[in-house]
Formats: sequence, C-alpha cells, structure tokens
Amino acid sequence: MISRQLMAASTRPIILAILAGGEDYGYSLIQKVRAGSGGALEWTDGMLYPVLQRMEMDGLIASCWRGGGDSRPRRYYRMTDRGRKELAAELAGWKTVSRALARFSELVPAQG
Amino acid sequence: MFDLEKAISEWKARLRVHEILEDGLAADLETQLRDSIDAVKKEGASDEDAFAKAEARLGPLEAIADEYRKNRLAALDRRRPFRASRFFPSLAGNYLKTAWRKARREKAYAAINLAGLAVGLACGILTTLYVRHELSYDRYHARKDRIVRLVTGVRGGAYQAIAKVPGPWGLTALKEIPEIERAVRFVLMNEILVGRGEVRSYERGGLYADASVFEVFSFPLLRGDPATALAHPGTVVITESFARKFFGGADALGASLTFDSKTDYLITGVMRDVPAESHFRFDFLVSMETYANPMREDWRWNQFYTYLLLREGASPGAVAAKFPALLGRHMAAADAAGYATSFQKLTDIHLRSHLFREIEPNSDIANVIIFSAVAFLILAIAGINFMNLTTARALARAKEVGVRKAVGASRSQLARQFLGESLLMSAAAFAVALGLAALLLPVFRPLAGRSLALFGPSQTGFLAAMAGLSLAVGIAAGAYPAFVLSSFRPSEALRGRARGLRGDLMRKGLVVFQFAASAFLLVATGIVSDQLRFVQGRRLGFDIGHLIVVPIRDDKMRAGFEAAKRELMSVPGVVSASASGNLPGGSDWGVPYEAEGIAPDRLPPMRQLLVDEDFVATYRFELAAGRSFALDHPTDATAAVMINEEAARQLAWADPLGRTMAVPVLKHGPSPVIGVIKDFHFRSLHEKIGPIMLLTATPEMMTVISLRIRADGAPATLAGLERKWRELDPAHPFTYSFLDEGFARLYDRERRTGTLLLSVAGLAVFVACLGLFGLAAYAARKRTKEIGIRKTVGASTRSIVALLSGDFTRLVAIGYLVAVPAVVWLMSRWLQGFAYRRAIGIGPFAAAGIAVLAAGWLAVGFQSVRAARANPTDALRYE
Repeated sequence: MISRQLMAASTRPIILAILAGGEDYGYSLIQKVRAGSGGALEWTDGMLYPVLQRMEMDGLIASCWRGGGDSRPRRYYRMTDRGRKELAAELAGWKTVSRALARFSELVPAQG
Repeated sequence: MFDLEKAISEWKARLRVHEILEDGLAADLETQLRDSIDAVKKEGASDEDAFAKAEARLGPLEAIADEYRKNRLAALDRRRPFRASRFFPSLAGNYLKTAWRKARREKAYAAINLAGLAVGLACGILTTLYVRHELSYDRYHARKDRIVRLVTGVRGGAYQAIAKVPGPWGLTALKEIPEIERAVRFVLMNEILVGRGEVRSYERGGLYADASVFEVFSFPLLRGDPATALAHPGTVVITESFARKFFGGADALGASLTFDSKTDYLITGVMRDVPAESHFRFDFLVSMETYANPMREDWRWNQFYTYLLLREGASPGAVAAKFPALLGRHMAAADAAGYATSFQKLTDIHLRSHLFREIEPNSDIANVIIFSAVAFLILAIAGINFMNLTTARALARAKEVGVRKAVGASRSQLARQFLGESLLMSAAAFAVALGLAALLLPVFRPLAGRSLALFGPSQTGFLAAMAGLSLAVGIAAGAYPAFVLSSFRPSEALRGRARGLRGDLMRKGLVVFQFAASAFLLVATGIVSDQLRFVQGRRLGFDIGHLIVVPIRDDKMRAGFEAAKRELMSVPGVVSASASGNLPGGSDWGVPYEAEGIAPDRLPPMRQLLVDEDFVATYRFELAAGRSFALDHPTDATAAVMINEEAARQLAWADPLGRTMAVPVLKHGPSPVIGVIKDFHFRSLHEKIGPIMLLTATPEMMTVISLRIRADGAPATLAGLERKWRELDPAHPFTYSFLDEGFARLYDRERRTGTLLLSVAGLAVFVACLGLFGLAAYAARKRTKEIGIRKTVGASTRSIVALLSGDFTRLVAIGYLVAVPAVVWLMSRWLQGFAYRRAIGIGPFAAAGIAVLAAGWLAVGFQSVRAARANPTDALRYE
C-alpha cells in the first residue's frame, strides 16, 4: 500500500512523464497510470482533475478542448517547456531518493 | 427501468450544488464519467452497474470540490493585492467636464478669476521684460568683463565726479601702465548738418572715436576693415540705418558725406546698428584724428569719454591705483592732487553711474527695483484673489467633494483634481495675459522709456520662463483651496454641513493687504503728481513763457549776431532777442575763476552763463542790486560780470557791486560786478540754486539766440521768423524749441514714474475690486436665507445693504490705514531727491481714501443691493 503523501508527491511527475510522450486527455491518463503501474497506483478518478488544474496554473501544462464529430469533445493536455524542466528535475530527485533508499534498505534487518 | 441519461443529469444536479465546480470543470468531470461508463459497459455491465461503478471511481464530489477550492485559494494568494492606481485616465475627462460645467454655471466667478490673474500676469510679463532689458545693458560686448571707464572727481568742481577725463590721460595710461591693453576715447560731436547731394539733415548722433574702438567694443563692421577704418583724418564709420538714410540700398563704403556743408568725410566702414541695450549709442563715428580742438592735448580739459581694456587677469583696483602717480608725472603736483580718478565697470554704468556729464542719461537700479516690487505686488494681489475666490467657492463644491470621497476618492486625488483645475485656469490666464501684454506693450514702451519686444527668437526662453511663472502662480494659488476642499468630511459635506470655512480670517487679511497696496499706490501717485505740478508751477526767477530758442549754425551769423538779432526783432510779434553761449536749464558752464580777495582754494564752485547785454531784459530777470549789462557802457562787452544772490552769499560779499572777478579761460580779466540778480533756477528743482555768474561773451562763443515773442499770434510769428531766417542763413534750415519745453524735459523721469504709478495703481485697484466683488457675491449668497428672514420681519433694503457693505468697508478702511505710514515714509524719501519740494499734503490721502472706498463700495454695493432687493420668498425657498 502506498501512502497518501507518496501518492500525492508522485502524481505530478507521473503525469508529466506521460505527457512527455505527447498530448493526452484525462480518462486516458488514468488508464495509462493504472496500466503502467500494474494496478499498483490506483487514483480516485475525480481527484486527477484538480491536480491538472493546479499544474496548469503553475504553467507546467497547457490545455485545450478538442474533438467532436465521432468522439465526444475532450480537454487535451500537453506539456510546456517549463513542465519539461520540472519533469527532469523531479526525475533526478526521485532517482536520488530511490538510490539512497536502496542503500539504506540493506541495513534494515529482514523480518520473518 | 434504469435511464442512464437521467441518472447522469441527476448526478450533474448534485454536482452543481458545489459552486466551485464551474461549467468548464463540470464538463471535465462529466467527460471523465462518460468515458468511464463506456469502458465498464464494454466489459458487459448493465447501464445501472456501469454508472454506479464509474461514479464510485470518480470519488465523492465533496472531496473534488475541496481540491478545487484549495486551487482557488492558492490562485488568490498568488495574485498581487489590489492597489488603487495613482491616476485614472478615465477620471481626467470627468475632472475636465466638472471644471468646465462649473465655469459655465458660474460665469462671473470664472471671468473674475481669469481676468484678475491675467492682468496680474500681464503686469508680471511686461515688468520682467523691462527688468531683463535694463539688466542686459552692454553685456553684448565680448570683452565686457575687462572694459572699464576712467572717470574722475575734480576738487572744487560743482559735482562729485565727471564721466569725462582729459584727452592725454587714456593714451598716456596705455603707454605707461602695462596692464592696460587698449584705450579708446570718445568725444561728443555737436549737432551737425550732414548731407549727400539733395539729402541733408541735422544729425546729433555723432561721436569722435579712436581707431581702437573696434578692438575694445564688439561693434561688428559689415563693410570695411576694423583695424584701419578710423585710422586717418576725415574718415567716418556709419551704422546700417544711417547708411540706409543717405544711400538707400547702395553701398556706402568708399563714398563720402558732406559735413556742415563744407567738408567731405570718406566712409571707411559700415557697422551694424548699436544695440538698444547700450549706455551710449551713435549713428556715426568720425576718426579722432579729425578732431581739431586746440585743447585736445590739454591735461586738464575734461572732454574725453575714456574706456580702457584691461589685460586678462589684471585687477581693476590695482590698475586704478596707479593713476595718481601717472598724473603726478605729467602735471604740476598741485593740479594732479586735485583729481580723484576711479574705474567704472562697463556693465555697471547704465544702472549705477550718475556722474556729471554722462554720455547719455542713464537709468537707475532703483527703477528696476521699484518696477520689480510693483509687479510683484500686483502679481501677489492677483494670486491672492485667485486663491480667495477659489476657496470661497469651495462651499458650493462641498457636495461634489462628498460624492467623490464617498465613492472612494482619496484626499490626495481630490487635491490633485483641484490643483489641476487651478493649473488649467492659470494656463488659460497665461494665454490671455500674453495677448494683454502684447496689446499693452505699445502703451508700456514710452512709460519704461525703452524699446522692448515681446515676441522674437531671443524671447523663447523668456516666454517659457513666464509660462513657468504662471504655472507656479497657479500652483501657489491653487494649493490652499485644494488643501481646504479636499479636507471636507464626506458625511458632513453630503448633509450640506460643510464646515464653515476657517480661512475667514485669512481671507479678510488678504482683502486688507490688497486694499493697502492699492491705497499705497494711489497716494504715491497723488504725491508724485502734486510735486510735478509744484515743480512746473514754481516761479523760476525769470519769465519762461513764450521764449523760443534758435541755435546759431552759421559762423558768419555768429560773427554778426548783433545784426541778426536786429533783423529778427523786425519780425512782427518778436518782443526782444538775445544771443548767448548757453542757457538756463542745465547747459551752464563751470570753468575756473578768480574772485577779489579770496584764496583760490576757498572759492565756492561757480557756474557761468555767457550772454549778451540783452539777455537779462529778454529773460526778465529781477535785479537785487546794481544794473544790467548795457550797450552804452562800452566796457561791459569785455570787463563786467553779474552774479546772483547766492553767489554773493557764498563769496561772503555784503556789497558785491564793484568787486572784481576774473575768468582767465574765457579771456575775462578782472572785471567789476555791476549787478546782482535775484536767485533764479538755472537747473532743475532737484538741485538747490547755486552760485552763478553772467558774463558777456565774444561773438565766436555764441551758440543760440533766445527770442521772446508775444503770446498771441505765435504761429504767424514763427512763420515770419522762419522766412527771415532763410534770408539770414540759407544754408541751414530753421529749427527752434520753446525753453519751457526744455525745462519740462528735466522732469521726464518723474513724469514717467508718475504715469507708471498711476497705471499700476489703476490696475491694482481694478484687480482688488474684482476680488472684492467676487467675495461680496459669495458672502451675499451665503447669507441669502438670513437676508430673507430679516426682510420678512421688516428690515429695509437700505439697512441690509448697510449690513452687507459694513464688513467690507471696515476691511478696506483698515487696508487704507495700514498703507498710510508706509507711503509717508517712502514718498518722503522720494521727495528728498528734490531740493525744492512740497510738503506732503492731505490732498492725496483724501483723494486716495475716497477712491479706494468708492471702488470698494461699488464692488460690494452691486452685490449687496441685488441681494437686499431680492424677493424674500425666493430667498427663503433657496437651498
């Protein structure tokens, strides 16, 4: 089980990482997270949208409504330059933390 | 049967409960819900199950709304806090509109405000123009800082110092004092007939000048070589306009002009006209080499205006200190000791030099100061009016202030609005003032006695400065009202209870000041004109009426002046005729003389008139003792003198008759005093009557013929004289002047001061009355209700007029009383300038008092009567 804090902290880099592969819309993002984490990361669908709004406020992503015709209109998000920089910084941070944790975990005595 | 769409719309209704979930966000969530439902349905679920599952996955709307709320707070937090901008451009239009409406609704106020300020500014503009002109004298010379004029005091002279020195002084100083780089001397030329072919005219604008004149002064030559132009005898440099007069457009260089109908002078240069800002001006310069006077090398004959160009860095004081020694080397020690030489800075001469025999009459720094003070006074009065009226009107604008404040205007914004209004007003006033100044300039020019120009390329800076001054007045005058207006409290202002203006005392003080200034100027005007009347009405000691003076121009006529006199006497209407070398009125001489039994160093300074034996009779002098010159005493022609009573007194001769006096310079050996003339004014009344002697002159000294003519038929007499003159001297046109006009000119300066004071006093009264008029109108309006009630309970119109006028009358009276001691003090000092003066009388004070009160009543009365006669019902319905 992943803690709420960890979930919250990881949301933004994960969204940015997905958008690095091209623009996308809300439902599809949730599906990709679920698929990518093998179900380990289970978000409450509705909570994604305030996060996306906040990221837009911070200038990391931009959005626009598109579609119509055969499919229903959807809001598509894409990454901004600022988002790209943020992603690089976040990834570097997470890698550092993860490497450090890996080393420290060796010190933890195994439990039955 | 489950209806999916119905379920979704019910879900949307639940969603809308949360205000934060705006349309865009709601659409996001609905899309998500529908995508989610579609996906679940694909797995084979029913509509009902799919909806339930998707809704569950979406999560509770409450929590989502919470997240959005956090975002909103963060966004609010991040925005810069609200701050009112300093200036709302959209309000500027409103300010202008309000100001314009205000001005239109209260035309009288606006007009008074504008007119008053404009008059004040016009005064300021004209005066500044004059002052600037006065201060700019002789500053156009490139070497002005190194040029000094050599002047000297003469022991025993009837003056403190004379502006001229003997000819050799300057040249010798140039040779012997190394700090002197150049010296140039000028000698005044008598009026002379200049001709070229048919064009002939008498010219009095000539000077003899050394060749170095163009090296010392900056007089640019348009034609000719400045180095050699005046190097040779018989050469002349003329100014542009002089050249135009005689040559039209043709080139004058190399041509010649005929002087005195006999000598041709070669024109070796044409120079630009001498600027008006010069303490001496001329039309032409004749080379000093041409000047043939036996006295020109005399070390004691003060006839040369001498200017020295000092070397760079030389101290004028140190150079001047070398002169006593220089004089000592070239003159007898006793003579040299009689002189006290000094230098005058070139740029000081015009305003600060008042020596004997100035090259041209100078102005006085006192004039500049008086002019500036008067202009400042009027400007101050106008500014005060502006301030007063604007403040008084503040009450009417209390509501506007209240509304503006209530909708959020800050105090500083309001202050800026009102300041802006007053700036606008002062800008408009400046425009009006410029027009007014341009209109008044022709009137002002003769008053200031100067040629002035308002517009021109050199005046841009000046006009900009004046515009700046107007704005400064606008700010100064607008600051106080702006401060008062913006201080109203909105709640009170809106309830119509704007604080009674506390500036009441200040406003009253200002009215007092204005009327004090007006009264001051009026009394001063009265005293000046009284004194002028006194001066011109005073018996001079001889009969000055109907005396005409004709200059003798022809040497043959001079030699035979007795015959000429006889011929002129034959013209009907001529009573008597006399030839003389000089005249009463300032042209008396002061050459050394000797008196029996008195040591030379004890002699009082004595003036001389050179006359013939008909002089005393023609001028109708009164004799105190002895007899007048007479043809039947043959010795009178060479050996007789007359003196005045003052001379007898100063010589301490109880019985002067028979005592002898001598004037060697005039070839008069010791001659007995044959008569004593009662004291008469031979100078202006500025000077005390001094000792003077009359002596008979030889024909070559005669310069004028004085003719007494009968009062009736003067034009015919003059025509007859002109005909006769043409027979006697066909070469020279007949010119004449009346002696009393010459005497009147001695008081030109005072007359100008008088006229100036009168116009300024008029302006001051006008502006002050404008202000009073406005204030009275304001006061009457403020008391409308009171007047209505008074009338209803039986007050008469007259009592109400008295009530309203009373206050102002008191202020005007106080102003008048304040002015009295100041004007008495100042005008007593002015009168000190006259040796003969009238005591300051009650007349000017009474006249000024009546004038000020009348003007004040006129200004207040109109308003009071209007207010008092209004129908009381209208008054009570007011507000």
